Amino acid sequence: MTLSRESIEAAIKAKIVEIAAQTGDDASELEPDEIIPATGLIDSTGLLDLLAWYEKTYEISLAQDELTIDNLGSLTRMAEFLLRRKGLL
Amino acid sequence: MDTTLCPFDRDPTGKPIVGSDPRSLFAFGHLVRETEKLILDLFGRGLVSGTTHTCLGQEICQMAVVRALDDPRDHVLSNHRNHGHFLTYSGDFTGLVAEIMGRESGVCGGWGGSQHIAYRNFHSNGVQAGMTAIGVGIARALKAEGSRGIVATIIGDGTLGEGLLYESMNLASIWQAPVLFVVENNGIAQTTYTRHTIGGGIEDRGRAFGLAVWRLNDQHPEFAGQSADIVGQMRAHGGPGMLVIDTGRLGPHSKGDDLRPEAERDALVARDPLRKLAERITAADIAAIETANKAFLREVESRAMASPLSTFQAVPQHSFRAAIDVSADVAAMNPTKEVVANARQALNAALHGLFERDDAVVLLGEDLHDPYGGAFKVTAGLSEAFPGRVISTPISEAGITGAGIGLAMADRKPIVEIMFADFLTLCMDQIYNHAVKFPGIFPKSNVPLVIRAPCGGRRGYGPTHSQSPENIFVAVPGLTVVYGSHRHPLGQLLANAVERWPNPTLFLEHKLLYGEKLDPGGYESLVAGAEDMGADLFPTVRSGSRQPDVTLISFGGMLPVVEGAARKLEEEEELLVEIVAPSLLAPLPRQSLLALLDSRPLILVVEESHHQFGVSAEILAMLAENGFSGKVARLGTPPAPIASARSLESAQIPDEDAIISAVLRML
Amino acid sequence: MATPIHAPRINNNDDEVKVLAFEVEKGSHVRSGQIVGQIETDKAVLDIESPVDGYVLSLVAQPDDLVKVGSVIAWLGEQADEPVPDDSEMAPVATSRDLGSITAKARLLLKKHGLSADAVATINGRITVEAVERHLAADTSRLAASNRDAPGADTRETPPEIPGVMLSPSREERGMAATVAWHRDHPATGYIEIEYDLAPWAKYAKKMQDDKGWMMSPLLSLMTWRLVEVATTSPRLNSTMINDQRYQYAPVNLGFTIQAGETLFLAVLRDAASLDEEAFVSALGDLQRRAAGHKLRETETSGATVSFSSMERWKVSRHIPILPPQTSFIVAHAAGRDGKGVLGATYDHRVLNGAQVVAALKLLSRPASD
Repeated sequence: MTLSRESIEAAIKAKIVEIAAQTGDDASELEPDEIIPATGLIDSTGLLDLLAWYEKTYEISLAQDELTIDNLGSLTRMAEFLLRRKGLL
Repeated sequence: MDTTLCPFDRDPTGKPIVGSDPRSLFAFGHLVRETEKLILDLFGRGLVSGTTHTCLGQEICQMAVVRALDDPRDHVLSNHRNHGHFLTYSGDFTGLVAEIMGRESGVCGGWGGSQHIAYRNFHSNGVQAGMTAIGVGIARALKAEGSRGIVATIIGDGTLGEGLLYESMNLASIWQAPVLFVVENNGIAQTTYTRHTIGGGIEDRGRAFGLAVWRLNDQHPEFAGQSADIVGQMRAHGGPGMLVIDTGRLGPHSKGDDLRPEAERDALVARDPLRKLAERITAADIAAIETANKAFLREVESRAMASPLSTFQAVPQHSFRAAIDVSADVAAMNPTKEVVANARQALNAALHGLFERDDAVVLLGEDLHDPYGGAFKVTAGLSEAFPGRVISTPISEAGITGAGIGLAMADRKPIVEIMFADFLTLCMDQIYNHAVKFPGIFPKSNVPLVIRAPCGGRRGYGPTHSQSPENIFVAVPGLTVVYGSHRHPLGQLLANAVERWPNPTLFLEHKLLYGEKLDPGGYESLVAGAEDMGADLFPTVRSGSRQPDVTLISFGGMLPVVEGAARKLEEEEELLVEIVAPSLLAPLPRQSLLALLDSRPLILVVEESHHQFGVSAEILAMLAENGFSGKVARLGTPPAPIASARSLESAQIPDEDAIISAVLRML
Repeated sequence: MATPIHAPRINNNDDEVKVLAFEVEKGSHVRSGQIVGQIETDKAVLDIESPVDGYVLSLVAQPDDLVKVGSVIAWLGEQADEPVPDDSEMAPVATSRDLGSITAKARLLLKKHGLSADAVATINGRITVEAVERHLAADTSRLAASNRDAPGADTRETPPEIPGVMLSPSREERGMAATVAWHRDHPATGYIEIEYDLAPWAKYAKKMQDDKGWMMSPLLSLMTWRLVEVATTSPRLNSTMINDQRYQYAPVNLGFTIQAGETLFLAVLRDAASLDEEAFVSALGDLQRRAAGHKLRETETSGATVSFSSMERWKVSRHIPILPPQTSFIVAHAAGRDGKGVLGATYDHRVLNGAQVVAALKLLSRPASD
């Protein structure tokens, strides 16, 4: 798997669209810098699914302290956080 | 390799052609020295990976024998101090500098660095004397193929303290293998003077083994010609030799470890053979050579610097090569043989089939010859049927393993028998630092070596003849460990290891299985997972309930005992028991095993080996990492020496009752 | 004095040899050194010589027998009519294992059905699967329950005539099936709900989320923590009925319903009362994420003593949860509207009465510090 910012953001967005669809929401217009929880597109359970998927897909493990808006609030931040964690940034 | 950049003419193999006149020798020697200085300069600038060992002062010595090797089948096996040998053999200055800098255009792409280089028939490695037995193996193969080629195995005087060297000299002597042991005697090993490390004479060592022995000094005006003459004599007599070259190391062993007094260093400068060559040519020639070499090395440096740092496209997760797609059907190989009754006969029949079908197969080991036929009779009848290809060796486990590696590198398919698996520790350096390293580092190096070893206890053979050392060997990166049983097609496993699996392989055979009837019983093979390399050649088999109360994973000689325990658990405890028996322990067929085991409620791994840090630990860790939520336990031999008395031994190695108790404890 | 002829060791590595033939028979006279027969390994055939002059008393082994090295294959005597010694005491006695009074499989069945071994009549001195099944068959009230998953084929349903495929359930699906079966057969369930103000909890959770900068609102985790606190102070909530007696759990093992992919099950945080509020929120978050990734350990999918179920996500205004096995209280949380929400609980009426449930729900409807 090649890890580029673009590919990570695209993959996360696809997952968000999938999760939002479960509760009948459409997340296809989500912008990279939008604060995901603030959009209301996915609820806390959906966020949990997203984070569990994020940990599993990218083989990282998150601590509760790290689950912050600053770290993971938007597509951009999630991608950056991952690249930093992987030592690629 | 960058062929555009070499200021010397080359022969058809690409080797630089260096004349034996003082001007030519000085020109190349000076270029080697300036290259070493460039490397030291790069080191000082922090541009070199790790450390490096230069040959400053020994350039003329390092060039001599390599320069004279003019047959395309000649081989050079070098050591940690190899730059002069490599440059003389390859002329690839940019490749060496870039390699040491860890750049993509390095001759080995940055894998090897200063010490580990492979190029055509040149191989160097970083363990003292580690290449010596390999050289004997290659030389034996050269002789068998009828080639003129010889092997130059080059060591320093510091290496004279290594035991493997003497196993190698002995093997070279009894096999009359065309290998020249070149001892570059610079009088010092890293920081310790030779006089403190060598008892007796250096040449006496060669004579004791019956080698032809020569001694030269690299200051001698005719040194290059003398060296070439010795190469010629080697070719003519076709046997082994030893050449001691007295030389002097101007630089430190590595970096910053030269503690010799100044007067001694001054004396070395005064004896410098390169300087002596310069005295024999004109000042104008020297100036021209220095100018040309300087300009050339500026270009070398800039090309090396321009090459990007070596990177992985993906970090390799293993170094195994894919199976070879050829037929190795033992039944087809050996259609007329009588019925195979037990495991010993199955292995013996497979060996007969392999020998008949493939001339490349050779067998090395102790006491293999008829009528003895090996300690466990697995090789019976082979030496009479295939003379010259079954080699009964001296008691030199490391040496014959190294020779096996050399034969494998020279396109043979060697099978090395180690009489008791306990003795495999003697082979460990050859396996761990050589057999598995070369294929992992050098794409063109093949080591299709199979080491067979009877293992296991329950015979009262005591602490050093009863062990099951798979726990140690599964941890060797790049080593395949196959351990079949009477429930596996044992002969086919061996044929697959020899013909279809191009990786160094340890093939374990439990002593008690030899007489066991070969019978698949109710076992079926698991479908090999697509990700599991080798799992189709060395299958995992399964028997018993598909909805078991307990799953017993076991292998090799433990299996008959596990079967006995399973019968009692079924009959006396009414449990549904499943048995899973892999024959491939490393690389572990993870996907195949997980697919089966994921939903099992209770798994006990039973092994005869010391289980702590071993095979069962790996299997259970794999299950835990993949979210397995049933109960697990493991049973093996506690980490204490195995006793000789049968009554003590049987209390140490798991038996049926121990297995049953372990299962009942889990429920 | 009789003399034995032993099966000899021919090779270090063979423990058994095969008797090929005897050249003498019982009663024959033999001389010392005379060949009496042959044995074979898979490498060689060897003659057996008589060690003494004498008469063959007995040929212990038969041709083609595989015998252990060192065992007696024949006896010789000075007289033809000497008695043949009994060498059975020389043979190592195979030690037999002490069998337990209950087979392992029967023990598993007893555990599964919550039966005591004392209640089951033995068969030939042991409690076997058959013994347990006989006991269960006699107990008709348990028969229905055992029918669904007992191994005996005769108690199983046959597939319908209509075409279809049999799909094996996942671990989670099996858990759900066991839950509803218990719910039907054991507790006397009731359901009660109260209406409550959403604002205090929302405000409390929002403050914590903002303070920590968290991605997710800790609201549900905080309400669940409140349940742990309430269950600690009102231990009756944290108990169940076993054979007409109330069983009071020592730890509070908090069950939390999780929807992971297609399956719904209880994830369990054991001994939750040993944590503090923040550690609990953190531990529950971790549990939920691992549950979503199907990475729970077995101890985290079983053993709940009190539970919390939220269907807020699905925007339902109320739901009546199924009571998990051997618990008495599960909270039902749903989506609110216009500042008001509904908080309900399914409970085991054998353990709790309505007033106790209402009191607990009221405590849960506001943060403790409020």
